[in-house]
Amino acid sequence: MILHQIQTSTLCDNALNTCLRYIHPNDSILLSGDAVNCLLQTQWQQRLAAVNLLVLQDDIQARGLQKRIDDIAAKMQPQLFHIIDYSNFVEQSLKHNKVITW
Amino acid sequence: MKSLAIVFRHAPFGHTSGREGLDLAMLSASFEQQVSLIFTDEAVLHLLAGQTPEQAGAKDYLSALKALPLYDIETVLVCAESLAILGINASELSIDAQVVTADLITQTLQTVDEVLVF
Amino acid sequence: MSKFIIQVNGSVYGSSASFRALSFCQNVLANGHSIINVFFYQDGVTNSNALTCPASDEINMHAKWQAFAKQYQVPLINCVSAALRRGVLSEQEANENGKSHWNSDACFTMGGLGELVVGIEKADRLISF
Repeated sequence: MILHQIQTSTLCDNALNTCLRYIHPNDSILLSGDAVNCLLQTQWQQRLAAVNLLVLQDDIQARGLQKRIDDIAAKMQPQLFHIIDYSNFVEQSLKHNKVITW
Repeated sequence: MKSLAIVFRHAPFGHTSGREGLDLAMLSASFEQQVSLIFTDEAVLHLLAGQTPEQAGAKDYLSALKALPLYDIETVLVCAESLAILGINASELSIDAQVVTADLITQTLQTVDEVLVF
Repeated sequence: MSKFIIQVNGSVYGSSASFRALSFCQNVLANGHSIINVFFYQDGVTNSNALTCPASDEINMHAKWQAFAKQYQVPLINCVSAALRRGVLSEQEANENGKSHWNSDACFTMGGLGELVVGIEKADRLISF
């Protein structure tokens, strides 16, 4: 069970795409930094729909995206979509067997 | 001893990440860690023969790839899908490496203790 | 309680990775865990540059790492070869390389990649930014 951390924009960097090629069904993805912006795109909402997804709250709020991401989250499966703070990020890194930062 | 997988995902020379990842791989192996290398996306281009890094302003760190067996780095995995996208045949690789499916890379990432991506 | 090693590859300015790394470190300690060391590699070594002078209304990641290390006694380690290549030198490296100036702050120790590897061996988790 791996926590995959994506920090970069999907429009600039292939990190999320590469991660999805190698992800195991029991793994989770954490979106942080510019990576949170991918949730605005339908194609990424669809590609991430079946993945346990964690999104860093400060990076959503910093970008003024809270309302938009809440609306998008309402369309995703609630048990697979989690907005987390740094403290929870720390605990999630321990709950998973390792963290890969792509 | 821990098992480490070092993943290369950036093209050679445009970035120094390939060079700095390879430094870490060799150093880890000399510290008796069990090291596997995984080349994916444009990083598979590191493995093409006949490159002249100096012409791109880079140090020739690719020649170090030939020394991997001396460091007991025997697992070198190359993503078959990435090779196919770039039109490269397994026979064109400059070093002894295993061309593998995404599933095998998934398994390797699950099995090792830590993964570092460059 | 778990032991973490943190790797920072993001630069002191121009990337937000270093900021997230520091926030993560603060929360590691707040949650009662420990940090073996914070290892700066690739462009991350620029975080030790004491000559970083952002405007007073801008975030100063160098100063923030320095304050964090002082408050919690967490070792900050620069990869020396990554640092030298990027013009980040401590007084000792400046002397050894015939340079009359240095910029790496004393709260960052210069070390080899071996310190990262040994740290990974001891840690429960490696987290890179």
